[in-house]
Amino acid sequence: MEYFISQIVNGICQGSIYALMAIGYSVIVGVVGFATFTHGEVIIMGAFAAYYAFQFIGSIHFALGIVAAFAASWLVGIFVYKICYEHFFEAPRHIALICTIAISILLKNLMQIVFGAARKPMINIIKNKIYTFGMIQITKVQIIIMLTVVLLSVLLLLVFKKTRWGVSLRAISQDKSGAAIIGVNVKRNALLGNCIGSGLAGVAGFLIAISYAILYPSMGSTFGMKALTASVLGGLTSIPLAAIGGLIIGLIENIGITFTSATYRDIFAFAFLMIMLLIRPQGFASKKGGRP
Amino acid sequence: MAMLKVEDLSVNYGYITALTKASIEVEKGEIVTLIGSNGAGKTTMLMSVSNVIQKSSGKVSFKDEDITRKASHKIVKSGICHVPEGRKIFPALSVYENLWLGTVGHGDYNRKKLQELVERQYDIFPRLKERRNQAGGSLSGGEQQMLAIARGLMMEPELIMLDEPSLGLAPIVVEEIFELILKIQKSGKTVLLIEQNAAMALSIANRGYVLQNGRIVLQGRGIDLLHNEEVKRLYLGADE
Amino acid sequence: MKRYLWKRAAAVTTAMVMAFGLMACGGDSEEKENKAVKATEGETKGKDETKKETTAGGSSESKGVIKIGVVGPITGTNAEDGIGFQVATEIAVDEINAAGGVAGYTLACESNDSASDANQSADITRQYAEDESFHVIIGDFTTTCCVVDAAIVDEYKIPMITPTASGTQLPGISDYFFTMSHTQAYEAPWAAKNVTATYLGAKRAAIMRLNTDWGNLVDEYMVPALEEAGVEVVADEAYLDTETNYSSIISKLNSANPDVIIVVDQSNASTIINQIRGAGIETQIQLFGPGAAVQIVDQTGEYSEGVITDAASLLTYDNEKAYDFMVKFKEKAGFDAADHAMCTYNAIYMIKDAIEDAVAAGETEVTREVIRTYLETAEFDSPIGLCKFNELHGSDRDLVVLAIEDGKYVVKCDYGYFD
Repeated sequence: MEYFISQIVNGICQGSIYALMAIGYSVIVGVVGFATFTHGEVIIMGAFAAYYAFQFIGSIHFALGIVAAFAASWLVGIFVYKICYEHFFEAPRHIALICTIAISILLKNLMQIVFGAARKPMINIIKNKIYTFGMIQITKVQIIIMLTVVLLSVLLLLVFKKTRWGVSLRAISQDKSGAAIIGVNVKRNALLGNCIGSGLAGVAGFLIAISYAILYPSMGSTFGMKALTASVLGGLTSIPLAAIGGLIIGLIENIGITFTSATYRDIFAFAFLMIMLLIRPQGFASKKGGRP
Repeated sequence: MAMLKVEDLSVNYGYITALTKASIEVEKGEIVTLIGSNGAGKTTMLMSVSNVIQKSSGKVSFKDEDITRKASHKIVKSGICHVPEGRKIFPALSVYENLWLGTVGHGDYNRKKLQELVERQYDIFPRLKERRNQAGGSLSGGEQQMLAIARGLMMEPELIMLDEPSLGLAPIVVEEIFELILKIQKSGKTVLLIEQNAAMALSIANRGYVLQNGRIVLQGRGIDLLHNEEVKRLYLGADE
Repeated sequence: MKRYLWKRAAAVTTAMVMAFGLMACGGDSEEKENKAVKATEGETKGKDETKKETTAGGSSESKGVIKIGVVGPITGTNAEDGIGFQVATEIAVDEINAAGGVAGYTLACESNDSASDANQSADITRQYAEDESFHVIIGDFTTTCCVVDAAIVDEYKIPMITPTASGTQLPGISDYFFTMSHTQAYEAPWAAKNVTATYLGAKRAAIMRLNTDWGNLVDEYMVPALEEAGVEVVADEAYLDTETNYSSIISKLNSANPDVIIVVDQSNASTIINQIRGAGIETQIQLFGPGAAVQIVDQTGEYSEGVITDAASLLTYDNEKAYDFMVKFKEKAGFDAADHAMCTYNAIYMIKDAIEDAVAAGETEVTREVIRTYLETAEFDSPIGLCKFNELHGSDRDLVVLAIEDGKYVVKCDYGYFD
């Protein structure tokens, strides 16, 4: 029984990281308007940035890792935008998509060449402690991870609701040409949206590396797919639903493993994707209001 | 000096010619209307001025500045506001947020100025004030149209371009809208009005142009066009 | 409009060329995500097909060249071991040639990457076998590859020595196949009886193992041996080599309240240790498989304090006999040598001994057959003990028990302790 409960805790913790990835993903797809396949690599770039930041600066600090991860992935976001999106807004949609696939291969292999394919450890970032509440055991690391995700999500929400710039990002994701007509600089905001989404992904990568104590370049692809899977729940663009999707996947995976075996972890996530696509491919986001 | 000058504008969508060598002029303080049947190219004209579609040839100048190839958001900044066909307000954003977005073209505002502007809109459109926190998509057709116009006014433009503001609205609402347009003119703004409802449009316009198959076929004072036989036959019998 | 079409076509073509080009250069295949170009610090770079030939600078008149073909996982999860094969062979060959060669012959070697894939391994082995200039083959790393390779060398009648593969089917599989490693039938019960039961005194053991042929074979021998020694196996979980998140397995094992967690793995050991200790679990950890790998100590920091393992040898810079080799290896490979690399080095010296015996016995020509025959009786007093093949062409190596203390391996029970 304790095992089951600790699996639920694991599931929520891991789910919150997936949620962060999915939130980043839906921001990108919403604001830029294209689905992206580079998300996995952006996620891992964040982790590597934190790893090397620790080595370069010589000291390990959680906040430093977050900042490094966010900044590095932000830059990758700029890179991806300039190559895959900037000139292809009016082109057929699959052009940008293929471009992102190509960039993801490029990034993955570049990382393997530059960082080495070997696994690198990510340890001692946080002094771990276990807290017990009755039957529930939770570690300090898990708490910090979940708090970080919650904090970032709240921050994002504030940006989107309280700043004019955030509101225009939401506008762009609802109606690009409508936004252009009223004076929103769509291209620049698309770039910003892409960077925000990428930055969040980078932080998620750092959190994953801490939670697994390991990182290596090819880790990213599975997470990219899980981010996409989670945001399918919200039709790819709804942020709150993407977050919920992430939590659901985290829970399903970890609970599923208790009844079967760890080798089946990914199967649960992708079975979820398939079921979602079969029963409601457009997601559950309600279309508020009538015709735009 | 004409505030807006469109010279010999031609636009093609693939093999379809939307506009052929169309020229119009709008003087400061005027209400100019562009009428014509569906597909005649009226919306294309406005989209070209806003530069959200590619032009094949021709020139657009605003206050003597060539804006043919200027970026859309910069055109807004220059003082042209485009209230698109179908209103195009943001359905998932609240009324307040929609209005707020009207100011994006103008750089940063302080809270005070923003509040002033918004209050001004609420004065003109009391119903918007009632619904200020509601999602744009939940408003009725007429209210959405008012929201779109209010948002346009938030931009503090010199020239307002309205694309089919009466579309899909009940007659009594249409009258309200047209009175509003007159009010806007009285406050010193210039209006370029696209309409299928030729009767109403011509009755408030100073001047008008008739667009047929992408070409300007007729132009003149509003009143004159209203009594023109051709116009009467083609457009005034077929209004909503 | 036309210009627009051209732009589109150009962009799509470029993207596709990029994509295909990268796939070809990167050599990524669908199954092996880890297979990649690995850049190691140091002179030796691991690539998909490395052809490095070392020939002598030594004596002016050479009776001929004895060529050794090396096949191992230079890329992929076991890259460190493959590179170990390559570098250790080169060091041995260089040493021997510099000292004047072997009975008048010079040694040469060539290495190729099998990426732990049986098909690739077989291809390379066959290439060596068909090339008359090769006399003997060193490799492969895993039992799965060796089983396939053994069939090939048996057909072509060329001797092959694996420094590491420990499958129980390997000794005796072919007259031409030799292994420097002891088998799981020997090591697993040894560890169960001596380490878990006797040294640790555990009564409840939880096992987590790599779900490969090797891991499952170990499990097959270890579980009965544990039970025979009076240790209850309270959990036994398998996971894939590509797994990175062990939290659920660890939770499962922990909830069974074991006295010791036995980790049967090789390359994932550091991560697993980190995650176990990271989750705050203080249970005793016993490793089986990686031996005294320095990577474990490097990548775990203080988490590995107190971890117990068994190994065929402890290679440290304190070992005077091994010091020279360790230094040379570190310089060439960029990381510290482990048991696997040492065994490779020893294998080359076994070949040397065989050739010397052959020439001394009057053999006029050193052929593949000659080498095979004399390997059977060859001996080498290596830095880690006497090397000698038994009747089935396997090796019976003695083992030591090690603990990690203060970031270093320490011998707790030396050779022969339990006899």
